[in-house]
Amino acid sequence: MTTQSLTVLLAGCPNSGKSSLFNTLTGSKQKIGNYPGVTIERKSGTITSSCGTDIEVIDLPGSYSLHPKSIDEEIAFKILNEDPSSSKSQLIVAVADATNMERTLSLVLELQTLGKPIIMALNMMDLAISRGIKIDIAKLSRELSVPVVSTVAIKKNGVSSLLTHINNFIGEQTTRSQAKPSKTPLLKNAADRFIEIDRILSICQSKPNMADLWTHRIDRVLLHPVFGGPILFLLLLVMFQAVFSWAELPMVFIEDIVAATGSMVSSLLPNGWVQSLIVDGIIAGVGSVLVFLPQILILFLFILILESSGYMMRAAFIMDRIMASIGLQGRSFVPLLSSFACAIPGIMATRTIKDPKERLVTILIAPLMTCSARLPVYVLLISAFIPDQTVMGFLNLQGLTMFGLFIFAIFSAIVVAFAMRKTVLHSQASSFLVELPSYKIPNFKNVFLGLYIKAKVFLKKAGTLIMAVSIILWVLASFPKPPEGATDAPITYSYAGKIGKSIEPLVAPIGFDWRIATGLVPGFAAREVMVGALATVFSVEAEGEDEEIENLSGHLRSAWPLATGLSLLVWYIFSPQCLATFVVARKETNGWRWPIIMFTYMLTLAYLSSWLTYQITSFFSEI
Amino acid sequence: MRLSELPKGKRARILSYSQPLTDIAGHTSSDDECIHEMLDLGMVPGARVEVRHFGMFGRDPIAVLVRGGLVALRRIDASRIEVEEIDE
Repeated sequence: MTTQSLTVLLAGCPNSGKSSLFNTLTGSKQKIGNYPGVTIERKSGTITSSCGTDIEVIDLPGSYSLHPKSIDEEIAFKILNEDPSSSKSQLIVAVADATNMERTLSLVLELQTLGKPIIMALNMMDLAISRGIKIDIAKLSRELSVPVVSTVAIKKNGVSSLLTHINNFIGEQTTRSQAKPSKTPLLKNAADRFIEIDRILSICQSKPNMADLWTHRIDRVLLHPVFGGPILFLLLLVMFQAVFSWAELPMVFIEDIVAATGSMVSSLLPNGWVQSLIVDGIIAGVGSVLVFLPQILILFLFILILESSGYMMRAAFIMDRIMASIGLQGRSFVPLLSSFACAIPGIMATRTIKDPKERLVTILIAPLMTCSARLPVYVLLISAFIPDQTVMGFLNLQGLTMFGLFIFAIFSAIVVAFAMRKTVLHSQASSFLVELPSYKIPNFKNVFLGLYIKAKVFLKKAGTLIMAVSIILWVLASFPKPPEGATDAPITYSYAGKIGKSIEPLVAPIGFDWRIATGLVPGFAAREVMVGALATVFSVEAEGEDEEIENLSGHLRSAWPLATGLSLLVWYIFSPQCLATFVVARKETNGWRWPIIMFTYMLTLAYLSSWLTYQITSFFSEI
Repeated sequence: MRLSELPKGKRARILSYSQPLTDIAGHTSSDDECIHEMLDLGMVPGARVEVRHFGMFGRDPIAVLVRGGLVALRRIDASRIEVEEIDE
């Protein structure tokens, strides 16, 4: 007996706990890829059926209906409409929020019009029960004529009945390949659907008359017309503060490990190019980037918690009016906030914005948000050039500079967005329509799974891209060796020195020397590479000299004037980076036109503002 | 009465949707796409609504309780929804 292989499509409204269900079903055995043809993140995983075959599970983007309005929903729509190939059969698992049946049932009724087999998973049953909502599953199943199972996605054994049903489905497949014809009428019209829903729910559900009391109580504070905004501002302040203060200890720890590894390798290996490659090239380069893992994880931790608790959409609600004044809407706030961690997920998150021009503007300004890859560069330059002193009694000057860089970036984004909405990307009517989900205590397993995936991606990048760049830079910085009787530092005779020197005239007006010029090229791959590149260049340069190698910021301070340091700092607010951002922007906008516009405007702003910074600082340094 | 005029805490029933409007400042409410979306969220004629929260500036946007869930929308779009107040 051969069993057909099966694809399970998880469909459901946003906030129905679909992704939690997906995580529990597939564990960490998930792949994040792209849908062929379009680049929408495709989350799929496999589970093994009771008869040993692999079942592919696909987590579709959340959607309220089968009338796609955003690109996200269009993807869900396309996959749900695909004809199953002859070798694979499809099963739709409609994930329903048991605490909000009305909205999900509307989608389930629409899914039935597709004529594919459906199982309804009533998720968050534990929450529904605790809120006094009673659902008669047998009756519901009969009224909808689809199998209904209750699930608690955040518990490991909460999905066992769903698995049983999926396995039964495979069993049935071998004897009968036709889906059970639905006996419910096919309702295409929203008003008719909700009449049917009211009928079904009057039979199957009894709900106490106090709708989600806790959510209402919390919202009375968090969505307070006066205090809501300040609370959001405070939350963001705490978030960015935490990124720096919480990360301090683990960063020192990682730095120590990197330093210890470096000196251990130095003592084990004989002096020579192998030792130099490993210590100056690989350990110095990769180590300098690895240090920032704690900060990146803390930032993502906050964003994941804000998202899974249900607050993120409140932030969009609070920000809508402000965003509207620059021609955007509340939804744009969420991708922009994510862009503070990384512009790539930020740009992908713009898919929920329906108006194409609003979406484009959001994509174009996303790379201006101070992403976590800028932090290594900022921290290095600030510690090198900004004195660690207290101003006005309680403010740390270094912290203040960092805050200033964030604020300046946001301010620039506002100006750019406003200018674009008024000119090339002008469009009329925009709307803001979102569901504000009930508050939930974030499920920590899911949050940590999310962090784990981020850490894996980051470490993979450090282990591959940054390592490769470090090695290449080390080679370029170490060869060829200086000729006999050379007087200058050996690195100036190397390829890196020559490349840097040939770019130098272009960047001299903004105060960059050949070392920075050398770092700018590989830095295009990823911002934080600049730190690794400088570390490699400086440690190769210092090699062989008697002076004890102090830390990198000390090197910078002695090598560059203040004007150069500040100019580089400002450059990084706008610098057109990184490569991956442009690739994602190309995929999301279907062409090179907008990424090129993005690159050009960022480069122009970077050069202009660095030039101004350099000239002004030089002027004041001289008097 | 329009949904945009409904005071906080008052319940109402949706009667109908009207054509796109332009306010004094020249802002136009959005097209029919938006109406489809509101319908999909359960804001169909006959549905009960209650205004729960207002935004910070100009009391915009508004958050409305519909079918046990909160939906946020802009005032200008809410002005397209004709409602009648219900006493309880």
